[in-house]
Amino acid sequence: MKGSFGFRISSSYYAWVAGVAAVAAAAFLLFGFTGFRSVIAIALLFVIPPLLLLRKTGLDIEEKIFFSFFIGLGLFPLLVFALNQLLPSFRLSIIAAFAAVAIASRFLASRFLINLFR
Amino acid sequence: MGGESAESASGASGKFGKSGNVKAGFTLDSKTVAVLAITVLFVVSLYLWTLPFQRNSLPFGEGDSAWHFSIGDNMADKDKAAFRLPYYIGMWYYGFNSILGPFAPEYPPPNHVNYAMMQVFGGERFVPVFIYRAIASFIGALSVFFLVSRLFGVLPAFIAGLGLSFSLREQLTYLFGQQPTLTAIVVTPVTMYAWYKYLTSFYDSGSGSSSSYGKGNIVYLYVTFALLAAQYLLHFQGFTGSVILMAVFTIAMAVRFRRLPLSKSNLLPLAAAIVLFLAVAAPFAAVYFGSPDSYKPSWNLGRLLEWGISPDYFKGSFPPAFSLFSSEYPKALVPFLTAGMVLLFVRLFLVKNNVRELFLLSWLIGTYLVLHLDVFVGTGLNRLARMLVLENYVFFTLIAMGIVWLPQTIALLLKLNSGVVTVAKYVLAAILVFSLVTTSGRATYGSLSQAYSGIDRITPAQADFAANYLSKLPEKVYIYDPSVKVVGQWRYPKMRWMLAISQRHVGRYDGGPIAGFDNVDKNETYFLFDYSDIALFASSPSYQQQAAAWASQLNQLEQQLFNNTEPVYDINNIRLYKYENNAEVPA
Repeated sequence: MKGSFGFRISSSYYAWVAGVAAVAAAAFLLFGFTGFRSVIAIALLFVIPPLLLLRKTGLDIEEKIFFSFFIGLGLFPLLVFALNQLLPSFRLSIIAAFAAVAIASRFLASRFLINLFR
Repeated sequence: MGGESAESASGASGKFGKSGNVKAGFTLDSKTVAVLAITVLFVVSLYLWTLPFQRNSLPFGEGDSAWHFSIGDNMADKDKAAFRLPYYIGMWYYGFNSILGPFAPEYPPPNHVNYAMMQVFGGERFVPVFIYRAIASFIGALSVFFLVSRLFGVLPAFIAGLGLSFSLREQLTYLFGQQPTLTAIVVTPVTMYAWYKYLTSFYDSGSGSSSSYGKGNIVYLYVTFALLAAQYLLHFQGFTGSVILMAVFTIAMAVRFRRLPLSKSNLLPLAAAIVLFLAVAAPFAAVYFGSPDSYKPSWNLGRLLEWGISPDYFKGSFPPAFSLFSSEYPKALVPFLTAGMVLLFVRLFLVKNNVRELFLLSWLIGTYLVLHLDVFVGTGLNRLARMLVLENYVFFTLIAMGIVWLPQTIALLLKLNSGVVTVAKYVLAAILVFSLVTTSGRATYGSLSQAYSGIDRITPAQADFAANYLSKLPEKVYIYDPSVKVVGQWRYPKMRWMLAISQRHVGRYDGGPIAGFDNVDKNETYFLFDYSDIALFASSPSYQQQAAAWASQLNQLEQQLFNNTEPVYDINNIRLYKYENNAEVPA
């Protein structure tokens, strides 16, 4: 399956997507749409950005997801904070941080940088 | 010899759930079993840990809880993540940081930016932040699940995770509002796993081809330092815990393989990882090192004979149950913990490829060192008590390993076949899960469903007053609340939640001159007399006398200060006065 940014989503992610959907459904039952949005927000804000950077590494999917979540808790908000020192809006900074990570992940996938960090 | 070969040699799977396949007429993929187990743990924990706000969405927690919430709330509200704190929050710990000066933050930004992002995406002010807080607190159960499942298999991982989702210690830290500390600590098992993988790959590569000699898988190296950076930014205590545990394991591995994990091949990547870490950490060094905490080693060597931290050392910060062994580990778990400990030492000597056993031993020793930092470094014991969570991680892992190792060892001694071992393992697991659910699980439901359900939580009348009246006062008002001194400390968090909700400074008043601080404008000073809690107490016959005494004391002060003055607000037994004379107030 190809995403709109051209990132290929492996079929091995399906079980994880189903797991997140189950947790989001539980949150919906407990807190309505706010609960659903909150769980999806946690997945989007903390897992996806580092996952974009780790996707080309040789780690397996479980490692990528767990590492991403725990790195994302501390480092993605730092990027948002740093960009908000330059940009006028916090909300805009979240979008800009996502864009920055997506672009960085493209560069990190380049052979030059892979070799540099090896 | 390396980690992977050690993993296969000791019988348990190094990958997710090779031992976790389920055959019941159809076969579930082992990775699906792991995801299923994680989902079950997540949903059970989400249900339990959100009990305090499932029926009442008003905020809860102690002063720390309100303080952290306020900063993120301000970021989302102003659409700006500023480094300096706004007036109403900055006056709380005014002048706390000796390097950065007034209105400096006490922590790097990530925790509070996370709260703000949750408000933005969740679409509400309180519930999304509290869902984040709950998840970021119970996620320790999942980080331990990840570590244990990768090293020992899904079954012990699930048991350890379930035990941790019922952990009283973590629940209290979360409820009281020290969630940022907890969130930094929950990362430690994942950091330790990444470092374990790096070191085992390093020692594996030492016996490989010459081109990769002594290099290891550097992806794990970078991931380890990225995780350390995340911990540093979330809370220094989590970072410290990981560094100590990693150091112990590194020394253990160096002794085991008679070689330091350094070579010409890995010096450059290691230096690059350290430089990247410093680039992230250095800008916030002053946030931590400007704090007034003094670090003088106690050299109380008697403490070294204790494993944990006695409740006597942190009176007032946590209830005694926080550190008591019996509160954390029900009696039924003790035999499994003992078996896990004994068998860990037995296996260290009997198993040839004992890297994973060495890892658990390092974790145990590292935890002991962390819990005794007061002796060597001088960390305050009330702060150090929060690190007891690390003990839970290693103890619940050993409890879970007890059920895996015990049948294996008995079978080995009695030469029983593997089928008997498998049956015994699952029977013991079923007993343990039943025991956990009926003891800790039931207690967890009881305590979390009752948490902050009474007078200790801000009431609708107080929240309404803060949101609809106080919030409309000028930004730099200073509102004094004398009731904490009269009724006691239980009132303090409610006062601070009024601050958080109104985004105006509300502070305790214990008597004396009203403008003793810098930055307090006498012309924008108010006094709050809140009798609404006392009225609730008075409605209960057993508290009527106490309530009358409190009301009388508070009323006496009100008359003394504001006799013949009309309050600017007088609804629901809450009165607010503007302070307009300069007379000193008696203590």
